[in-house]
Parts: sequence; C-alpha cells; structure tokens
Amino acid sequence: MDAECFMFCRKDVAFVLSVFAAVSLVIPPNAHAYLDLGTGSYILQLAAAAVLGALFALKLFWANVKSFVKVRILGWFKRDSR
Amino acid sequence: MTLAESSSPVPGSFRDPSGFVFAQDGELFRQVNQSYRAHYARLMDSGLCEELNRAGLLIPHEEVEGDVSASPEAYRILRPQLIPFVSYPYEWCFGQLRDAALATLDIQRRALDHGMTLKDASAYNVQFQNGRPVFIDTLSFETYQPGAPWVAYRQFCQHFLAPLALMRHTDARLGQLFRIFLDGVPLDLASRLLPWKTRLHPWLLLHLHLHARSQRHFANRKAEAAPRRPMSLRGMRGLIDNLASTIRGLRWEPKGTEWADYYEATNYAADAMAHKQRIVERWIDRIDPPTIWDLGANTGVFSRLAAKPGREVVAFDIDPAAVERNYQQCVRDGQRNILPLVLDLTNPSPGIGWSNEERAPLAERGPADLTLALALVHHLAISHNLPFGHIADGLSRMGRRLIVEFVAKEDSQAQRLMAGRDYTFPNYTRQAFEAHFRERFHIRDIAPIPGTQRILYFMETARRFL
Repeated sequence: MDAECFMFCRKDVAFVLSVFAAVSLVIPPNAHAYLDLGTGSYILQLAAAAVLGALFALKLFWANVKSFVKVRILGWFKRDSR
Repeated sequence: MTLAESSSPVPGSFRDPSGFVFAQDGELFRQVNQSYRAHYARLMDSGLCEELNRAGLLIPHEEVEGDVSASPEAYRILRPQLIPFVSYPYEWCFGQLRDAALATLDIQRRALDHGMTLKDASAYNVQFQNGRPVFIDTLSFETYQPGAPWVAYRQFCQHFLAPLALMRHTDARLGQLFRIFLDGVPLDLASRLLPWKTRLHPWLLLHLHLHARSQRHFANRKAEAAPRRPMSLRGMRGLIDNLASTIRGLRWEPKGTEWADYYEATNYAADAMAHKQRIVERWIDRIDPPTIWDLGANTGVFSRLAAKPGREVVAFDIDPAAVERNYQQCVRDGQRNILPLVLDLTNPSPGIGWSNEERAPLAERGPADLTLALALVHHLAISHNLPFGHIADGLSRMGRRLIVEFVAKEDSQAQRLMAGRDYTFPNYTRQAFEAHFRERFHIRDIAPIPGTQRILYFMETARRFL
C-alpha cells in the first residue's frame, strides 16, 4: 500500500470514529459488572450494534422470505404437479 | 454451612466475586456466593443450564448438600464434572481456539433466549472434553438487563477474535501471545501486527482496527454527564451473529508442517514402521494406562494407536501446523480421547498469572501413566544440545512409565540434524544413553527395530510421585 493510500485510510478511520463519537455521546451504564466495559469498547459496541442489529433483522427477514418461497410456493407447485 | 478447615481455594479462580473453585479432601468444588443467588436461580430455573448441558456446551455439575464450604458467603456448593486434562489457550492450535470462540458465542446466543447473558468471555473458561470445547464457568451467567451492552465484548475480541485473526493472517505461532498477555491480545497490538489487507475486511476493520482506535481515542476521556443510550436486544443479537460469522470466516489450512513429510520421507521401510507400531502397541496394551502423553506426536499416528477406549491421550507437538492437522483429523474421525496441544518441550508452559499460580505449569498437570517419546530424543540431544542426563531427568518427571526410541548417530535422520556442524557429538552413543536413563528408570524391555538404526525401550521410572 503506498503512502497516499495510507494517509487516506488514516483520515478515513479518523472520520468514521468521530462520527461514532458524535452519534454515541453516552456514558457506560452503571452495570454491576466485575469486568471493565471500557469506554472506547462500549461506544464502538453501541455504534456497531445499531448497524449490525439492522443487518440481522434483514437477514432474518430474508430467511423468512426464502423459507416462505421454499415451503409454500414450491410446495404448492409440487402438490399441483402430482 | 460451616467453614471447612481442609478446603483450599484453587489459584486462578478469585477474580469473579460470584464464587470460586476450591479443593477439599482431594475433590474439586465450586462455591456459589450469596451475591450470585438470583442469577444462579435463573440459570437453573430458566432451563438454560439443562439446555447447555444437553448440547455439551456447559460442564455438568451437581449440588452438594452438607458440611462442605470454603467461606461464610456460601449459598450453594457445586461439584462439577472433572476435565481429564486442563489445557490453556497458548497450548491450543488455531482450530481449537476457533471452536472455543464459536462455542462461547453459541452459549451467549442461547443465554439471551433465556433472558441471561455472559458477563465474561475469557478463553480460560473453555476446556476440551471428549474432543469438543466445553464451558466450565457455571457462574459466568447473569440476568440480562434490557438496554445493557455485552459487558464481555472487549474481552471476547481480546481472547478470541484478535488472536485468531493474527494466527490466520500474520503467523500461526502468534497464539503464544497468550503466554505474555493474561487477558488476551491487546487490540492496539493486534491492529499493528495484522497486515493492511485486514483493514479491507469490514468486520475485522470494525471489531479490531476501529475498536483499537476507539479504545485509544477514549482512553483518557472522562464520561461527562450525558444521556445513557440503551442497546437493543436486536442490536445485541446482531453483534453476536456478526462475531460468529466473522469467526467462521477465519479459516486456516496448514500447507505443510515443520515435519510435514516426516512419515513419508522417513528413512525406514514400511515394514519397519509396521514393526515399530506393533511393538509400541503391545507394550501399551500390556499396562493399559488410563493417561498417556505423546511427546513430539506430530500429526498423531502413535497417539491414535494408543487411544483405545478408556484411555486419555494428550498429543503434544511444537509445530502448530502439525497440531492443527491432528486436531482436524480428530474432529473428522469423531476421535474423542485425543487432545492435541502445542508445546515446546524445551520450554514447557510455565505457571503464569498472579504469583505465577493462576495457570498451572505443565509439571503440575502430570504425571501421566505413560509417556511416549518416539523419534524425539535425537532432536533434543542434537538440535537442542540437551545432555542425556537432562533428558532422562525431564522425562522421569512427566510419567510413571516411558516408551522411548533411541536413534543411532548413523541413522540418516540423525545425520541430517548434525549436517553443517563441526561438533560430532562424541557422547551421543547407545551406551551413554542407557547409562543415563538407568539412573532415572528401570529398563524393562528393549526391542531393536529390524532394518533400522533404531531401538525401542520400555522403562519404569524410579521416581516416587505424590
């Protein structure tokens, strides 16, 4: 990777992080955890969960669509052809 | 309950205030403290414990009634099923750490289904039993609070994702970082050591590189009074699902091993190898040992010979690729009583952690009933310049009996190890070998392997173990 690309990546990372920080102006909840949650880890986790939660919902929706097509529609065609 | 005087807490079980493991009258128990009462009740009553036990993901336990406790805070005393051999992440190959990671995430997913969550995700909470990873810390579960984040996310990334990514993308030997960093690989270090191409992988970029950057960015920030933002259960499930698919995406197929072609390129004929296998098998069957350590096991040819029902074999090798191949073979064959582990015999696992006691050294996890040291001594004596006296002493500490192979200097494999050296190893003779081993062992049987320069010995140690 050349120097220009390297600089771009660094700026890019800094930008993404500042967005995360702005979106997540929060403090860690007062959990009774014996492990240190870590402020940085917590903020990143919140931002990640927001995106990954949405993707997970899409994944489940798509799995339902596939299941519906497989069981209902293809099953109907099979029965019909018999 | 009263405090039993003979109980002693097990080192390495003191961080979690929910309870601890202790030994009493030669048995192991886990104390559940009063402070963990509600969580324990939920674990048992919600069906989670039963489901995890049934799936082989959590070590089964039974509750003990009566006068057994280690401190006044005791709420319950559990007697967990025992693990045949306790191993640590720095002794695991890539595939073992990967399977342990996936087991941890599977447990977290099932815990969420029962309104609970894992409060830690340490690789040390996982052991191998019957060839598969099993979670051993019954007190790692707590009731899920809606809106709460996954407290163990940072620890999971340090204990599993970072070392796996390093072993996959940088070097398989980097699993040894666990020996230096007790709480997993620091993410800033992992981010530095990983190649640039891993920044193009969106999930490694997120969970490792941006995670490390976020830790650094907020390291000294004081959390100002600001509204708390809850994390949805869907977000939590999405995070766990994404971590699991990221881990599943990390695959490592070893191309070769340090001794990859050892058996293929061996200098003796197939019938000599078959003869050697027959002798070793006959000697092992004669004593039928419950525990066997195969030192320098390579991909486990002789471990398989030894692993008959009722025996537990630990197959050590220095080469992570050989251990990986051995482990994958065990998984494919459903071989449940061989545990392949990475070990440099010239520098075995030491005691680490607080007071060097949290993780036991190899020496404290033995002795085995039988040690196999086949095609090993010439490597130790020639490649590592270990005198026979030291080798005999070291092996006598590991097991009660020993099957060892002496490879003469004239053997082409020994010649290969000596190639390029001026030193001719004048003390490397059969007579010297036997003299030094007789100081530590009683030699019970000797069998030369026909057509080779090799001799097998069956010995019993003169040492008395406690």
